[in-house]
Amino acid sequence: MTATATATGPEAPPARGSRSRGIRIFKWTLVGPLISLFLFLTPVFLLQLYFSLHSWTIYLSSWWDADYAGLDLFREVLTESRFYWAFARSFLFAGLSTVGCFIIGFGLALLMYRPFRGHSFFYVLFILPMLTVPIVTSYTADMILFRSGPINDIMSFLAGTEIRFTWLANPDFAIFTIIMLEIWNWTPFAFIIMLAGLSSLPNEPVEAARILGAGRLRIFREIQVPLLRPVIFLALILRFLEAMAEFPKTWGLLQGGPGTATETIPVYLYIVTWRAFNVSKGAAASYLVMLLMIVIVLSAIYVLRREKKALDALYEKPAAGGEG
Amino acid sequence: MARPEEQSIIALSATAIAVAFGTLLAYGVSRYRILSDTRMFQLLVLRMIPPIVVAAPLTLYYSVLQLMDTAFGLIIVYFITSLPYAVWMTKSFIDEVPREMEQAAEILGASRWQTIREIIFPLIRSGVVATFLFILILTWSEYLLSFILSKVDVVTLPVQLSKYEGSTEGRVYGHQAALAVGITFPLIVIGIFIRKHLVRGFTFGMVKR
Repeated sequence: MTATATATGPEAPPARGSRSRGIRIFKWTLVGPLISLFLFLTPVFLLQLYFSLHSWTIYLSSWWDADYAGLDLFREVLTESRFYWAFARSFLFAGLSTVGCFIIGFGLALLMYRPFRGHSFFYVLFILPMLTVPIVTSYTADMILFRSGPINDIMSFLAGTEIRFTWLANPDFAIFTIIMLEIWNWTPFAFIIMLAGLSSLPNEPVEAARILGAGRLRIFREIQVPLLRPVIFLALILRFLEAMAEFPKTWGLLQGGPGTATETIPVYLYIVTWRAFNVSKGAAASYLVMLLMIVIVLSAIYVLRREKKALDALYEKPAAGGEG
Repeated sequence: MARPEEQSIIALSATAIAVAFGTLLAYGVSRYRILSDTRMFQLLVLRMIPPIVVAAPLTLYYSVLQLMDTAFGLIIVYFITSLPYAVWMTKSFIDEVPREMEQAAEILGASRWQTIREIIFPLIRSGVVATFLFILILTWSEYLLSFILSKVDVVTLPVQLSKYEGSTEGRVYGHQAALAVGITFPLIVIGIFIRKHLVRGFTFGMVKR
């Protein structure tokens, strides 16, 4: 609306004469700002490199005359077991919450992809958790998961005996509490993606299989799942990557505690940089994390591209023969 | 002290810029392939690298540029992190618009901006609105970057929420709960409003219709 109008405002209409010249101008009015955006960000990465090679903490006055430390900081990070534990926890957190979100979300989508009475009520109900602010979720969870809080009261009432489960203070269980919260928060994301996928599937293969006598389970396994592969990968990958970066819930709820029991990678980096003020060590650790994340993101992108190509190829052929 | 109007300005303007620029870029990619497939996927990296990884140097960079604790600084980072979603979501809508209409408009002598404004935009309006509101939900509730890049002058509401955890007067449950309701309420209203469009926008072209 107004947004597009302001963006188009300053641009003059492209020259009428040559069409390809017009396209070139159009291209660079858009790609130009994009490149300057990347240039704007470049110093951030250079600064990070500087910090990871120089030993600086916030107690030193000026950052530009810190001592050169070579690879010492990387060595320090790599010999710290806390760093590896943070990694292990991040993978546990992201892996379990992704699987949880996906299974529940896909299940709900399978229930919901055909219209029925009260459909929109359930739909709103199921997407509601995604519409909450993550930090609000974490403080609210903090209140209701209290040892004598409402969740334990409800469970006691249902079980008929007194239950006083330690959701947060138990170092062995705390991370699973946060994983459950993450699943609650982001199941709608998987649900919406899978619902979109399911409702866009062509009807003919399913009908054909049904006429040929295939059962519900067989149709699901041999027709719906293969056709949904790109969407399934999309849901899993987006959710996993967002969960790797998750900060408000882990931080707001337990700040990495009890001890270091819920210290995921983002929390570890935050504590090293802003609590211990060890900026250089934080930068070195960040660099290592960034490299690993780039590897993960690139392989994710490889998978998504392959799936998208397969999908495009699949749909191009019937379209050439004329659509039914 | 956080001010709701400040929060609204930050979230709304970052979202508006991201969606406006993203829509134009998506149009260029969809029709003239001004970015190759590889570049489009590289754009996703902007979103998928955890922001905490660059948070410390970003703080320093921002203080050199005098952008610390300013609304403008936050708008820039939110714009950058929402751009990939904006481009990908709007592109999946633009791809669905048949090209014949644009070709007809072009033959009749319409300029490119006219074509975008009068042919493409009306057809993808609901998609753009859905993208806008989805990104608004994300920027509205963003926590980490505003936690790091703003402390005193500009405080977003989610960060204000954690200030009620303050150690001096203990945890102020009442204020915190009230503000939590206040932050969440607009998002739920928005979500109910866009629920139909969400399903369409969320597949990033991974579904054929």
